[in-house]
Amino acid sequence: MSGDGARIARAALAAAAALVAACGGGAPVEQEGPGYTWVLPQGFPVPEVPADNPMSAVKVELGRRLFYDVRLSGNQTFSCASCHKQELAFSDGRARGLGSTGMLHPRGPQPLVNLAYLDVYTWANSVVPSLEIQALVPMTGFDPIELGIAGYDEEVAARLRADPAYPALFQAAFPGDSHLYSYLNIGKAIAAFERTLISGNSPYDGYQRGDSTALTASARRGLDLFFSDRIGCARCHSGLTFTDAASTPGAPGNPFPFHNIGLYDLDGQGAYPADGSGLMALTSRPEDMGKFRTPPLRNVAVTAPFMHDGSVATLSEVIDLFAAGGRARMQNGVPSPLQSPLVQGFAITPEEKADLLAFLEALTDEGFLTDPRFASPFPAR
Amino acid sequence: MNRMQLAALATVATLFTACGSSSDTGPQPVAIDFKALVGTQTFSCADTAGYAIGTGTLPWIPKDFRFYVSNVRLVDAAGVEAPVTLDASVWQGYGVALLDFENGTGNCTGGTVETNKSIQGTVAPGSYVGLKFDVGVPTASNHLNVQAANPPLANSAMYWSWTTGYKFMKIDGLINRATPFTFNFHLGSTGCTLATPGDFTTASCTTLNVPSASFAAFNPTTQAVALDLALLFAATNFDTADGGGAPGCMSGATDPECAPIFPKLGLPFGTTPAGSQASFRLVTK
Repeated sequence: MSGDGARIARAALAAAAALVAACGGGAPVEQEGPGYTWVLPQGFPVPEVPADNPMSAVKVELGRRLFYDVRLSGNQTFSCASCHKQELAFSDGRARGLGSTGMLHPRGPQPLVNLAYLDVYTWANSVVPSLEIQALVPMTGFDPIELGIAGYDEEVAARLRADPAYPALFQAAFPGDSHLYSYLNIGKAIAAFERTLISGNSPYDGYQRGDSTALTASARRGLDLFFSDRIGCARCHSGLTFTDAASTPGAPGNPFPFHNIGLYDLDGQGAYPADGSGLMALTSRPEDMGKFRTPPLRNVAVTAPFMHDGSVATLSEVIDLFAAGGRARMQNGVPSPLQSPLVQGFAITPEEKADLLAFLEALTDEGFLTDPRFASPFPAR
Repeated sequence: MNRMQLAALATVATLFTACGSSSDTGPQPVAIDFKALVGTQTFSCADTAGYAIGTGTLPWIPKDFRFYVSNVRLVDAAGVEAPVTLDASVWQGYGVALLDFENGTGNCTGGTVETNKSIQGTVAPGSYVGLKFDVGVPTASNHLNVQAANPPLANSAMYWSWTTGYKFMKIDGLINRATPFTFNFHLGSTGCTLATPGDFTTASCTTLNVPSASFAAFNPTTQAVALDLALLFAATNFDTADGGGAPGCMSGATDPECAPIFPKLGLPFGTTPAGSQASFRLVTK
């Protein structure tokens, strides 16, 4: 396409976008941030970005390639995308993740959605402060081995340097850097790509923007239940991202969005299984037993199974265990002594449960799951 | 100070410094050699048949052997300690030295060809008879931005991502059970929290897990410090299936494989109180 043809096509596209926006169709809008034009759902703020890793279009493109590149695993069989699949909102459908060398992860791969707004990135870690540092965990961890490239710095750099596309991308993303292919830069580029994984065009969003037909009557009733004090989901699943582990750009983050929801009480003292003791594994504080991050809920319907260990198969069962005031209480008759007071249980009729499920399903953003900007840049193999 | 005293001092200094320099009132160089031993054998990644250590029968096959040393002090006859200032190099910085005995061959994947088997530094002029040091990275340097750090803390293998700190020791072995098993030994600080949410440089850890070694009589000219795996793993049975927690011992407060190892480093574990380390010993160079 060239010349007038391109101009006309662009004008037509712009007109179509304006039309859709005017109708409340929720087309993403461009918003200018420092050095980068974000494409954001209507009403979503420009995310905060660390000062030492400014956004750029080329860095995002580099990060996308790295995210999908198996050369980032020790044995060149796995990429980030092996456990974070776009069609599942970048989760992978497994109860427990599987690493590049065959080690089972004690936890399920989390969806990667709206990370740019989150304060906490993993199930139970309060000391990893940024996506850049988080990227090192799957790259260098030993328990379990995920990508398995701890100590492979020079070999990975050699692989990337030999690629026809990477040298130019790295140089453009990190101009003047003397250690172009360092894990530092790999993590920065992946983080930049991850920050673009923003989802905000679900039926729920359409409804929020004034399209009263976007939600079914059942989902609308479910919305009211979700935000009701009686059911209480929104006590923790709050805000734009449906988690208290997020904050508005510029505002202080929630320092402690970790909760024990009474999933286990193995000993009457609130014990969780040894390989899933939650935040306590990091802090060694007994009171942190069984505390996990509140998972964000956008696209939750495509991210089964649920909970940190994938031990709940369906959203219907999730509602059942919250209604019972925790699975431990459901099984033992008494709540775990370590359970959050926010998990009290509630009565819910079958009709209400169906409505709540309809609402949770209305948080699925089909466009996000198929957006070519987030897809693999490599030919299908 | 008369000439004879000076001469005596110079003699002591010569004895006590590996490179034999001496003299004036400036700092005197000191070099301390380290060895990685397995009983009477010298650790080598090339020994892919492994070593018969521990209480079981399966050999421990080398995969990794690296550790950080910090807070190095020489001790004079009166018991006064003089800190050793580490020279700046790719192996030393941030007050720590990385000792690295793996060379990336055999099963030592993810390793480096380069090795480092000595500490280089300077100490105030004096006559010293003893040596003390810690294993590990001091808290002040343990939560740097690893991605921006320089050597020896710019090391993705020694980085301990889940605590945003470092592994103080990484001594891993392959055990050929029915299903081959990597027995990791990763020593590091645990019980970590942030003072300021979102700022990992404010991380601190309640259980430091920093072993200390002390030798009352040490001659750096003739002696080296050996970390002996036969001693470190003397109470470990590599035959038995992992009892939970991380594969091997990764310093978890309830990881059963740590219970026989920590006391050998003089560290408390569970109800076992801290004692004296029994894994480092002095050997003739």
